[in-house]
Amino acid sequence: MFAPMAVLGLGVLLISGMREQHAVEPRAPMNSITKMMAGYEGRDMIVPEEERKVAGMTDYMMRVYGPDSLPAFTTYVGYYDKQVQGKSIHSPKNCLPGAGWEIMTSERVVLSPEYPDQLVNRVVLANRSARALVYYWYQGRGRISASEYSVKWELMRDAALRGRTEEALVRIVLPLPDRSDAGTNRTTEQDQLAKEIARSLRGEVWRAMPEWVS
Amino acid sequence: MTIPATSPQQTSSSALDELGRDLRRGLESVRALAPAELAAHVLTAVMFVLLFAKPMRLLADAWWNDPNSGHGLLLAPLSLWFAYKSGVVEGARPQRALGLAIIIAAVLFRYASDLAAELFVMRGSMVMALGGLVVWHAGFRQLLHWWLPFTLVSLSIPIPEVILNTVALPLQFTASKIGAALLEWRKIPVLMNGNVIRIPGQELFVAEACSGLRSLTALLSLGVLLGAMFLQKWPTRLLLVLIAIPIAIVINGVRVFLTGFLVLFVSPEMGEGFMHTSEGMLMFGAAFFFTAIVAWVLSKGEGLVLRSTAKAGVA
Repeated sequence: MFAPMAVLGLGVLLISGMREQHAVEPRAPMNSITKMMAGYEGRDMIVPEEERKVAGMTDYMMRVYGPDSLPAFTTYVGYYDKQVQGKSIHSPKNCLPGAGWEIMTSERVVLSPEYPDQLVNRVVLANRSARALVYYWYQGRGRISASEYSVKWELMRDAALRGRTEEALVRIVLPLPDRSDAGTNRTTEQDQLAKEIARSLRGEVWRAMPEWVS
Repeated sequence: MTIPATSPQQTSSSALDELGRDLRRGLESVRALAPAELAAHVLTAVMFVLLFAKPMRLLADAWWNDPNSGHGLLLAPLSLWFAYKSGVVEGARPQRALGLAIIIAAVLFRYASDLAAELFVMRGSMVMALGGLVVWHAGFRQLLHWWLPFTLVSLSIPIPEVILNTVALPLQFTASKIGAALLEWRKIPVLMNGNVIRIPGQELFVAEACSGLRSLTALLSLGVLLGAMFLQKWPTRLLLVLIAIPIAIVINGVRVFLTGFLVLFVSPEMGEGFMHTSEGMLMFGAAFFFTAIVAWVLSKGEGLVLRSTAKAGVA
């Protein structure tokens, strides 16, 4: 008669004594990531306070590379020291359409053949006449992931077993100058540049991320 | 389950009388309970509220503030009403072990989803626990008997954004293609690039709102509801829900075409703001209408099949 009450009561105890997530400081601030990428020197950009609150990251790096008039690319690393309800990484797939960008194509690509299991997302975006190529991935707690689903699973597992949920969202945006190029093979050059930046950024983010022994 | 139809002769006052009678009967059966049993029920309810207070609050917040989830405000009270109207199935027997297993699973999901900051699972665990309590008290047959309220409540839980966007992209492309094909049919030069349609002097974006998904969950709920009310067989009910999906997509393709047409021949302002939203609501109304027509046609077809089967049986 009291069994459902007992089980639900245990659930109440379980969530009230839930393992507290540790806020884990990065080894180095995200801004310590080298400014030199693909032969360009980056200039720091500030994310407005309101946007920072919405995004919920605890540390970030956002840089623009190349001439002011036509930047060659921008990079962003958003670091979350712990992820809880209302303060977790939002997939760019959810945020970009809200910002007026339309997703034209979306796929997963390998950055370097020596790490065939490390996939990152490649997305082509359009906003009116502007087109952009975006590479993004999730990095932290010893792995790189492109899949929003596996990221959720790993978040749950590591939260329950280790009390750790720190993670970074890494994103590279390159403009696609010729609108007719979007989504076609003629983006190859921009893809090569994106991969070069991504490989370099991947190593830099590992250097800044907290230690993780699996 | 068939929803007991209210006969035309019944007035609203007699429905209220019936509700009053049932409430009195319910109170009497509560008074007849042994104190220990009553305490068990009350404590279970208290624990349920304590455990699921967070998902309940977050769900109510989504219904109230998120335009994609607003239909939950209608579905939740409807579900309660349908559960009450369909009552307890004959021969309902408690299934303690199964019920408890479902409740335990729901509690684990509730715990894990909080750890992973995963809203959908957290909200889903609440419906799962309710299902477990039904099975514990009245068995799996009762849960099946209440399939409509449970389905409607489940459809009122907002789909996770990750899944929504995975489904949205192909839907967007399909709506764009239909819109572009219709524009070409009207001899308007169209150039499609992914999800962007270019017509002379204008560029149309088939935004998420136009993908049909905003109205898709509401339309699916409507399909379930119409199927339960007017159809008798599971395959036809399922068919109705499945047909609601292409209806939403085609209607949104037509919306893209109309937007392009109006932007080109009337005013560029027709593609944004109030006009665009009104056009969207009109299109949802059309989708609603076509789904109702399909339900009506299916019910007629079902009636014919059932009659001919009955005749064959008699012969």
